[in-house]
Amino acid sequence: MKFLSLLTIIFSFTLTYYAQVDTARMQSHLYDVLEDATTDKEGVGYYDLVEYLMQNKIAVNTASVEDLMRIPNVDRQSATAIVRHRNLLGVIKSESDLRSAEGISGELIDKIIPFLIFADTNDISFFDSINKSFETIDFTFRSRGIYDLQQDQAFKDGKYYGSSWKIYNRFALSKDNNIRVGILTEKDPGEKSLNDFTTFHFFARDIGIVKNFVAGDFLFEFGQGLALWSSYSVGKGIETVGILPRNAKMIIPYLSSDENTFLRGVALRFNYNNLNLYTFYSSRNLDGSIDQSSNQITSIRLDGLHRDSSEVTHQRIVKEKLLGVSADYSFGEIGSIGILYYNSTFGNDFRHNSLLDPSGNSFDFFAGNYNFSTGRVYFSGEAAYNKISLATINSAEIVIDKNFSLLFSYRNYPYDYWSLHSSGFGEKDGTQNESGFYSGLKLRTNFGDFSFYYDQFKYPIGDEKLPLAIKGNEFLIYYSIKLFRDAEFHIRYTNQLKESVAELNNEYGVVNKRNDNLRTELLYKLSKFIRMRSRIEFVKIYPTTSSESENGLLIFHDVKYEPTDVLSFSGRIVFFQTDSYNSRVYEFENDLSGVMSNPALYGDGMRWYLVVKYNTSFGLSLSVKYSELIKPNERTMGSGDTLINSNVDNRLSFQLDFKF
Amino acid sequence: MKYVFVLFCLLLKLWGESFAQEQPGAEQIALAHSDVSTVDDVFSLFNNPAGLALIKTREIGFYYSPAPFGVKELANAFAAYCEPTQYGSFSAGYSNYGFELYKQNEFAVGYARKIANNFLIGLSSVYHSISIKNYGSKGVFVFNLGAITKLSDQVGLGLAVNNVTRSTITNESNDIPTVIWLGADLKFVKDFVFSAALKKEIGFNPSIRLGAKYSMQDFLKLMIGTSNEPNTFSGGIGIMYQFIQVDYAFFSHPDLGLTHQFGVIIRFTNN
Repeated sequence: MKFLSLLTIIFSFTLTYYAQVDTARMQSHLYDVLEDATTDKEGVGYYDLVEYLMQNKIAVNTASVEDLMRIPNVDRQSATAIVRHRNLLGVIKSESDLRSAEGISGELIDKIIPFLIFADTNDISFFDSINKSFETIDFTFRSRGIYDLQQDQAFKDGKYYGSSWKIYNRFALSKDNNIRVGILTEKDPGEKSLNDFTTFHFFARDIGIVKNFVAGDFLFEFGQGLALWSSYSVGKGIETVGILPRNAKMIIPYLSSDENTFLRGVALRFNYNNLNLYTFYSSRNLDGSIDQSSNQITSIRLDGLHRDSSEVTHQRIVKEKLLGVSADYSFGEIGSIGILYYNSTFGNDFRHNSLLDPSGNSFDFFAGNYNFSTGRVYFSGEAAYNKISLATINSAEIVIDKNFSLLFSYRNYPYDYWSLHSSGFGEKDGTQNESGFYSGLKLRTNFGDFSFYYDQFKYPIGDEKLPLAIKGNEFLIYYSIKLFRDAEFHIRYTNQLKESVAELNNEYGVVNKRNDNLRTELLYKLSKFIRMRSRIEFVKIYPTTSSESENGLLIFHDVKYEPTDVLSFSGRIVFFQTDSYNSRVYEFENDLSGVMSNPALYGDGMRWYLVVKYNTSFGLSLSVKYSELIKPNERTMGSGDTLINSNVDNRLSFQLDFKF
Repeated sequence: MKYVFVLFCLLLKLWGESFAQEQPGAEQIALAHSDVSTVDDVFSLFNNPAGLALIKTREIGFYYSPAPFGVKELANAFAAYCEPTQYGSFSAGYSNYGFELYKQNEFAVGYARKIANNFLIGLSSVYHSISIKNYGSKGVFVFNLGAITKLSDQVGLGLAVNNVTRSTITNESNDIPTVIWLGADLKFVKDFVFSAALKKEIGFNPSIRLGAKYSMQDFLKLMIGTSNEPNTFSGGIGIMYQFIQVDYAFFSHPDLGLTHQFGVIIRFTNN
């Protein structure tokens, strides 16, 4: 009853729309970027980064080329075009001023507007900021609870310490873009404590010569990610040319729920004209396994789960200290160069079991990167050395015309190059044991846009059981066309041929695998309030090229209805049918703000969900999601600890966002 | 008695396999139910309820299939009524299948309206009732959703979901299947409509339906359709005279053979 009363009060206060962030634009942008990744990963980290960048907007009238390149999708050419346009006009006063810039497409401007501010607020220094009244302080709070209505077997057996709720709380305070304090706590299902995971930071900018300062948790991105990168990277997809080079964001205050990929300590950036100097120190404990007899690290655990005694035993037992320095120098429109050194020392030696495993406990990394533009050709690359071998990536983007661009990139990551903190571009994770040549093309015509890539790759060590090289290739063709004023049609085909090590008659050998995927999609806007999306996707895989194929099918229909500025409904119904888990299909779901789910669907069944969001006039937003996965022809779902004795798996999620 | 029960289980299975028969309308069957985005008569109530919003005048429709696949026990009849108003279209209908020992009845009500320019939505609720002599009877409410939109004068899209509430009449999941239909229509030339639909039901392979309707004269139209899963072909003719429309359709199933359907729709003009 109290809850109902609270709801009544909240609804009665709803007078005008309060734009906490430009959620619609951000959701749409993120959906495009992340759903294309088609992996098991859920892009929460990337979402948090984009949200951070949207909340800490870049002042278009004072930003450097490098500052503008922190915005997703902005490359050096586009950033340079904005700066040139600003120099021409004197000041960019509005979005329409920006739209008159040469060399930037309307599509890109649509994507970057949420990250820009046209006033010169960034000119306020740290000391000005703290002398000002508290009126300019922004507080944001987000609280979320996710509950699976069907209990897993492990909960029924009382195996886990805590309840099956997943609970997330985040608080951030910021003032004039100059000061930010953030704290986040999270409890995964089965974990006991509400703050099983806690992250926090204090961030300040423009304190004299110190341009950025972070104490607490942070990320550091350098070059193309061969030596040091955050957890945020997007794989190959329909962004066939824009995917490289990456724009490193250097120091990023961390406020996300990934429990293992951040640094904890202090980071500073000093700026003198075009020269930036960085230094950082981190000391933290990671989850992992240490062999009791040899005292060696046998694995680093990245799942962040501490639900039972076994998992708690591995909690935060691997110590890592990391110390680094970096510098970059900008030549403005022409390009930039950067260097990095860091040392990572672990509390124990790593066990060296196979050729691909690290050994020892201290690792030094030296890296250098460059970006160089000749107008229509843009070269970029990085080389990283770990005192054993050299990993490199070099790319060239050729802009033949504003509607036609090409990308070529060669990467070489030796098998004995190992870094816990790297995330280079490639077919697989790890920036290790891979070489490849990537070619991408993007063409805009009056009769639609075409994208294409072809990637050849090779793993020098196929598998520790069979240390032979294996290879593969993959291509994508994507076509999109605006059929009518409010309707777009997309078609995407991907084909991957890949060798794999398999056991055949008690012997290991190389087999060829093939994977085909065809996706068609229609997006249309029926009115100011209603948007629809229909997708049909076929998957055909050949576990080995000599075996019979397995098929997968996905059909879904989306509706988004926004009857008023304060209320929105989005729902989806999905039907799927696959021969096995191998031919599984994915559907990237728009979810509560800050949650991006990409569930793998297999077998024969359906899934549906409904998300309702309500924004009040005083900064409070409420969101609820209900979802069901149904497999009527099965009696149970999952297996082992995740077994549920039902053919329906349903979940309820609540979220509260408050900004004042 | 056991024999009778087995017989009716068999009949029910035949009924399920000839799914096109489950949803009425001679025109709809002639088009192999490809008309998800173009269905616009009173039988929309049982197909895509959004189509009810396309009805301009009061309509009553009757449909009868006397002996599907030569089995008189599979005979089925439908009646439906639609009242378009300024608040949307309201509809009610009834269907009957079976005979003395086994009966299946449906009572349906539906509502559809235009909610935006060229966008129609509809909802129908059907009460399914099954009665087996000496075994008693049981019923359940099932809800169906539909939407139709026109992207342009030449292109339309349709969506229908049957049994969105996943209602069941027994303890078995999916005994009344939840089905999604995605449809599109193209009008390349005047008086000729090409329609296509994709149907997916859990436990069955997806079925593609194609159909074409040619309105040769104001009073005469010809329809043809085909589908896979199961492989069928169908066709039909519709004759309109003043306020009455008479439709005939044939439908061929690869295993079950040929069957015939008839429909009559009466349209009451406002004056």
